[in-house]
Amino acid sequence: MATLDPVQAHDDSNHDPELLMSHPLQNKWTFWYYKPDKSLPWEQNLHKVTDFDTVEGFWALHNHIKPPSELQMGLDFNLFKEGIKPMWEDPSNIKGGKWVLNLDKRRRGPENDKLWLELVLSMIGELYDDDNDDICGAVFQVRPKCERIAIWLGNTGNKEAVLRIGHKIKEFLELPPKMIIVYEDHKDAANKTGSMAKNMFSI
Amino acid sequence: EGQWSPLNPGGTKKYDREFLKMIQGSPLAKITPNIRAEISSTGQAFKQPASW
Repeated sequence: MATLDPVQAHDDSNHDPELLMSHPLQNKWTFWYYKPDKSLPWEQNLHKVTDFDTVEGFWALHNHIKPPSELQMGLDFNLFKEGIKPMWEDPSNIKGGKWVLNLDKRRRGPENDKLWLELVLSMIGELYDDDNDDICGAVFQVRPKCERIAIWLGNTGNKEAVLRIGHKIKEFLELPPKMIIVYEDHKDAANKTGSMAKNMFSI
Repeated sequence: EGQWSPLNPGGTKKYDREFLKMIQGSPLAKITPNIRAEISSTGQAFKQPASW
């Protein structure tokens, strides 16, 4: 994508010119992890790790953290656009919801890590055409019975965008048609307990 | 207008997965950010964070 003088590029043939420069992202992202400690208020269990706003900054983080499937039980990884806290009460999330992919525990491991990476790449690469602005962030959760990946959207009311994003997630993650993702409105999820939240869409 | 590049700094910063993956091995991607031991790939903190 970047161009370099051909002579210079030839002289430096061991190095791809793309690897010698920094590539800015459209958005700045904040990476958090959540570690439950019942003696603390919920928000204090949320730890900000780092921000990045370049492709290289993302990989510097990715190359040095555990794959999410190796996290301790109960921990979450969260990646959100700068300024958006990974909680439904945040003003950017409060009218939104999330596409959820529940992963069978038997699939735990590298395969689930790959799905998370593909999702993250699609977000930071801004691959959702006109709907990138509807995306707030994504969460990877490690729970006793399953691992769960969710992508959080900011506007449940924009149903066409919600569905377009859902179909794109299935495409980017190369999910087989029988692997269903469900959309939950944050309000519904907050009003009901755990998995009883109403699924607005399934695709 | 169009894709960002050093010659088009006002362009949209959109990158497909193949391009993003190509950057994983960049020397700049080897820089270690501050990471707590419990989430670091080696099980050890890469640097002491300034504050939590």
